[in-house]
Amino acid sequence: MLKFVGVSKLYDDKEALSNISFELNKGDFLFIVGPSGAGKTTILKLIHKEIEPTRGEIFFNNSSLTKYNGKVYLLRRKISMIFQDYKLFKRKTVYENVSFPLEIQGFSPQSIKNKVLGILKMVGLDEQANKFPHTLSGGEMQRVSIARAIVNNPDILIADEPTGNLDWKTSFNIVDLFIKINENGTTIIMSTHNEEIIKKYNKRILYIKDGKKLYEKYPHIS
Amino acid sequence: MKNIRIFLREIKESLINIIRSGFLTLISIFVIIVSIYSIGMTYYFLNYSNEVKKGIENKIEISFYLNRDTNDVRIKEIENEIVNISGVESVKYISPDVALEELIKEYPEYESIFKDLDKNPLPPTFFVKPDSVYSINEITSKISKIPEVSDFFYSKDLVDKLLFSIKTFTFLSIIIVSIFIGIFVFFLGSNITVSIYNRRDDIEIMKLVGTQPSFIKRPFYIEGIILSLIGGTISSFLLNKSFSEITKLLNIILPFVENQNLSNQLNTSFYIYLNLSVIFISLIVSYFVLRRYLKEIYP
Repeated sequence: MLKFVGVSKLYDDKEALSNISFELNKGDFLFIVGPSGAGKTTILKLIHKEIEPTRGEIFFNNSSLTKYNGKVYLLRRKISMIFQDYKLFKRKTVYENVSFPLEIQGFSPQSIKNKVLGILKMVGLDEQANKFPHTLSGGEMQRVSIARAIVNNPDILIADEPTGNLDWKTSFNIVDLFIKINENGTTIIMSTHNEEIIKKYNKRILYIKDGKKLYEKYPHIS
Repeated sequence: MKNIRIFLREIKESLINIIRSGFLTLISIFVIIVSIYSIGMTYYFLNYSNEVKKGIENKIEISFYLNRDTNDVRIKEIENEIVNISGVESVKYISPDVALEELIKEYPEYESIFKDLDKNPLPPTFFVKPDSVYSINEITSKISKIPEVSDFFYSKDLVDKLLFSIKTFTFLSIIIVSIFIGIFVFFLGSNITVSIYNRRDDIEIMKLVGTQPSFIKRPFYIEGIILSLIGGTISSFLLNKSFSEITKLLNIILPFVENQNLSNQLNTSFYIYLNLSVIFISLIVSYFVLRRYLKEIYP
């Protein structure tokens, strides 16, 4: 489903990523782990096509993302992204935030309502639908962000340090939610530097440091 | 159906933005009203000056006298020559006998004096009506070259002052209209720029969640149209009221000016064209501002 082949990225002669290769199949769950500045966000931005690789090639569903010259916004409906700072519309309610990706595609109001209420129930925010983001806790805001990201039923969900601003208990709740989404068939890539999360969840790990892949660890099969 | 729903969603987004912009929206509407009102008033006075010109033109007549010994055949020839001068609307010949009769009618108390005269002192006279004040100089120049013409009269000072006033007023009107269009364009452009700046976070999020560029741009266009329509409607109403009151006042001050043409020009079509022009300008300004500022976000 997703393949990195010798991908490098330079920012003003500074190498942020160096010759990264890995492959993901549909339904996989991958933690990208590494210290701050290791290049985790760069990998996610490359998948989200916010930046282009300097060398190498990225494939998504057997097509080259690097050579993709179609409409990027259509691609981003298949590859959803979640951010550490949530990136919610401040002046929209929880319901409006989650319904936005469907409204821009012209779904019928009834279909939007059914989908949004279903997703909000799944993330445990059905009671908060009419609240504005500033009235929510960090964990709740991240769940709104997740709800908005999955309402489109994307092929891949990428999360950039989604637990970075949260306490450990809320962080585990958020990762539990990712596991639940992953069990429904969505491929998930999550960057983190939280050792507790990596230890608790038996998932595939891609460890990078200074832009280089140090090792890749596959989950234990019991 | 999907496209209609998306379009309705864009209209909703625009209306929400207009309401949430609050003070900025009010400022924009105010600037649109002031600009359109000023442009409308300038247009009104431009048209009114044209009516004043026409009113004065109707009163202007060039009269010229021939030598008393000019015979009837030659008088007829001269009449034909004058008719063929470009810019001549009509020519009227008054023979010395008819002129004397009219003089007696005008001053009956001097009838006996006029009748006692051995010889009619009045010369053969032509009255020429030009089709425009701009034709007077050419007509008088050609008439002065006819050898039998002894003298001619027209209100030269009045005509010269009128021509100067009209030219000056037209020039100033064009400058005033240009300035107000410039102010309108500047404020509209600033308004859209500030709106984009205020919504830069939302635009960034929209981009990240896969929003099509048209969905980001169209609400700005729709906002421009809505604000122009609100400003245009209010200023049209104000203009209509002002036109009516000023026309009444001017009818008292300058009764010789016919206002019929003016009221024909300032009808519903005038307001429709005025509003359409404002919407057109608003769309053009929106296009260039959006192209400039959204290029960084949606290259």
